[in-house]
Amino acid sequence: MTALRICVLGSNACAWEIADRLDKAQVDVLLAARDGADDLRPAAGRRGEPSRVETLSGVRLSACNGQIGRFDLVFASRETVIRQTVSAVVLAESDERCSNQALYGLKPAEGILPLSKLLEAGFRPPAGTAPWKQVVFLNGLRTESQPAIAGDIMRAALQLQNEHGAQCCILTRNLKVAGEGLEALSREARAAGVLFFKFTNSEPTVLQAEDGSVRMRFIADPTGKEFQLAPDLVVVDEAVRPSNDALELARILGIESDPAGFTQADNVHRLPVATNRRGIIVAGPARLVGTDAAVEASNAALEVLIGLAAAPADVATAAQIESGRCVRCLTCLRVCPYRAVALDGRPQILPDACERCGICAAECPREAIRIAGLEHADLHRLIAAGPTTDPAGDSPLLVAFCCRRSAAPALRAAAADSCWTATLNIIEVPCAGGIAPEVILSAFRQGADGVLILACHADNCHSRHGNHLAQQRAQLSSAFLDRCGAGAGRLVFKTLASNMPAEAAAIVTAFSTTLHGLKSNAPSARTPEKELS
Amino acid sequence: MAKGNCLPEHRVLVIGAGIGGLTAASALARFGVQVDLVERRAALGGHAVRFACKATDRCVKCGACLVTEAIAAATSDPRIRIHAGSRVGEFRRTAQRFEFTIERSEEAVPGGGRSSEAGRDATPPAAAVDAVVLAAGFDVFDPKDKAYGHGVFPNVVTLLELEHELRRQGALNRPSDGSAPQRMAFIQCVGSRDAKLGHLWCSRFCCGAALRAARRIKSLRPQTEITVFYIDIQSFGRDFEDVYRQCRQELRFIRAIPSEAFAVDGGGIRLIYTEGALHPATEAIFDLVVLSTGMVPPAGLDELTARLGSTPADSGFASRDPAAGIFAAGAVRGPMSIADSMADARDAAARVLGFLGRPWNMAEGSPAPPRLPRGHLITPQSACRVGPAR
Repeated sequence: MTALRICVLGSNACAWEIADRLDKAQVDVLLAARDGADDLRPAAGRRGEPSRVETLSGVRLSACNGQIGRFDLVFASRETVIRQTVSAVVLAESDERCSNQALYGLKPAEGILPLSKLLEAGFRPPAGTAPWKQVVFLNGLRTESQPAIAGDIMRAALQLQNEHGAQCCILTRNLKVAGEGLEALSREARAAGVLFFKFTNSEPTVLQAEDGSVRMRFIADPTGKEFQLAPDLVVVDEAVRPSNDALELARILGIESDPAGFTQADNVHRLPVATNRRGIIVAGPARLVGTDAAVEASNAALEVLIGLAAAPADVATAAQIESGRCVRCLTCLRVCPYRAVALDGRPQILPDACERCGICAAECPREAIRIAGLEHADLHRLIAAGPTTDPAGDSPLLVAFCCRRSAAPALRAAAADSCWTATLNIIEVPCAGGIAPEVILSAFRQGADGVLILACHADNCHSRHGNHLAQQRAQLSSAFLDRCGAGAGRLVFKTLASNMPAEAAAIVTAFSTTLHGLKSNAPSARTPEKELS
Repeated sequence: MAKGNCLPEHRVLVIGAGIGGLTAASALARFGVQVDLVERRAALGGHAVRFACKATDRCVKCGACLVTEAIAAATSDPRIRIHAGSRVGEFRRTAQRFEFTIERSEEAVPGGGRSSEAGRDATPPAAAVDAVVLAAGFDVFDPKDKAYGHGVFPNVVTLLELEHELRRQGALNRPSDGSAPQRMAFIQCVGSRDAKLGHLWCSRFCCGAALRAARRIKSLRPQTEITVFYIDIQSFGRDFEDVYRQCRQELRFIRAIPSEAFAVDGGGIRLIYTEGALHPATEAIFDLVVLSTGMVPPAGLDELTARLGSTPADSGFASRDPAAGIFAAGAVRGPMSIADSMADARDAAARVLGFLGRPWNMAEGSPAPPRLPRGHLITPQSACRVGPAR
């Protein structure tokens, strides 16, 4: 086996920590960032030690091809193009803080500082200026604040209050104390004389004079008393966003991001540091607001090595494209949530990136994609191998296609203490998005009275949109059943989570009741399987 | 990559099989470490295994469903010896190792999942390990000393009890008469942010849990009127701003913590609260009151850490003692969400690997990680035959 080499993209504390962990784990690291060489050097303590960390400064990633085990990266620097081959990639880019000043209608002025500027100044007035007498912090009045921001504000207020003789006031809506030590900090600040004014349904009136000075007027909530403040310093809170570099790298790497642009999808199956692509890991401040560099580094290092140990896959288990049937419509390239299809003249499956969800096979209009164990014939066999119609004839036969991560465990738990009157054939699939309409119809051909497609909830699909595709196909199949007179009610699509056995039981019970009212679909004899394949 | 058999054999004791302990155990096992996982309850999964899914028309990312996968991963790993319904008996530090005995614990939690979930249960009388992961989790604050009548008025329940009911029934009914509540109240910060109790912490998960549960209840019965009493609503989730905006449309928020609760006829609960000097004391009657009880250090943690030769933090939660080979992980270190516990547990696992001086090469023949499934083949055996039932 070739030696592992991991590319860490970024130059912040978290990126260095990851490189350090991998170094100690005896893995080669390529640390690459846009910054100049001066920014990209190890912390003083480690300089001079033998290290497996190689740095590449002043470069921009422009392409990433390949799959876990071997990614070919192309970096562009000012003069040249650098190609590197690595086993896996960790994206550990930075966040940015953007002042909310404009949201408060304030123009830049001498007496207004964004929070970061005050932090950079070490919480003290610049040399040569008079000490601040009254400092007002605006926190989370227009957008919701974050614990990290609230923590910085409270620390700053406490220090200015205690050491620089300022009277500090924090004007806030929800005070975010859901971070380590923040509730205790807020009490310490109060005890030191920092005033907290909390707003619920009102807001302070913030007025800025021509000379830039700011006044505030408001009714303080608990007392109902009107306050007027004319601070010599106003500190404005900040919003936290992923850096532009992080956004660009996420796009180049082809990984999902959340609605705010952070480099990990809002999907619990990606926790803690995974992405939709095997071998590409995200960590640090651009992954999520308020992360801890050390915790992120441990998780990134573990995840990347665990992923590499699972590769390479047995090529035979991945999806395979039959070249004779493929007409290069590129549907597979478009629908694969894992970026496991590459284009090299014609679409090719990257076996180590393939998660066997079956979406490409089910969507392929030419039926040119096969996945061992998930082919139509395999599923026909499974349906046939299941229980047959109750001889008494009064209990409907249900075939339930269940997503392995959600509905299958829920339905099994429900079946353990079931009280429904139905014969249930649970067919577990990696993703409900891999069930083609032909398979649904095959269940009916084999005598099912009803078919359930049970997928994960929206936004909870490991394969991103497998549940949505399954629902679309269920709607199409229902319409077809309706047209051919079988009744659209015989096919039901529902979403479940693994911890919903009660809901799973309710779905089966309700469906069997519906089917009791319909004519049985039981054939006098089952359709022989050879006719199907 | 080095051969697995070239590596020294290391064994680690993981105390607690909640989401933190399960995650730490699986991570260590993947790197070839032998694990003894000791859980005092009969069922694995800790608190989270009894949480309900709070999805509305979509997933709300509470993470409760991840516990099922964590249990499956730990029970299917041959390197993990699971001791459910057990506790650590004697514990002794020897030169470089720790020796301990395992005894049966008295605890069996009613409704805490089937004991068969505990999987293999190979309890040796004693073992020796190289490091300890302390993942004893948390206790839920017991609100008996708060004037809300929990334990006396049937229609005052904790958030945890609400979760269990939603999980068990897939619906919400009043304990007193089984009717669907029309008017509900959530009281936040019960036992958290409370200087009188010395609880100078925000429990972090309860705003998310309460608002998600409230929206789930609204999605099941839209006509339910829900009021949330709060101090400050804490952010949760990547889409908090949107969710909070929706919540403010669907729910009524009152920035006050009720001082008392009284039972009224028909099972109702009257709450008394004051929104500030501008408002007089107000009363409102609810059919069901939910107390968002916070996290506190688990009972017996002092005694347990003392036996391990470690000391807890000032808050009473556990602190990491890496030099001594004791690594606290998850909510035993302080309030954490499911996602945070998982990340913290993997951090602890990484630190244990460093402490053992173990190169992080994967052992050969590692079982496929369940989150990254490989070669999952459907065989007729995996099709479940059920029914016809009663």
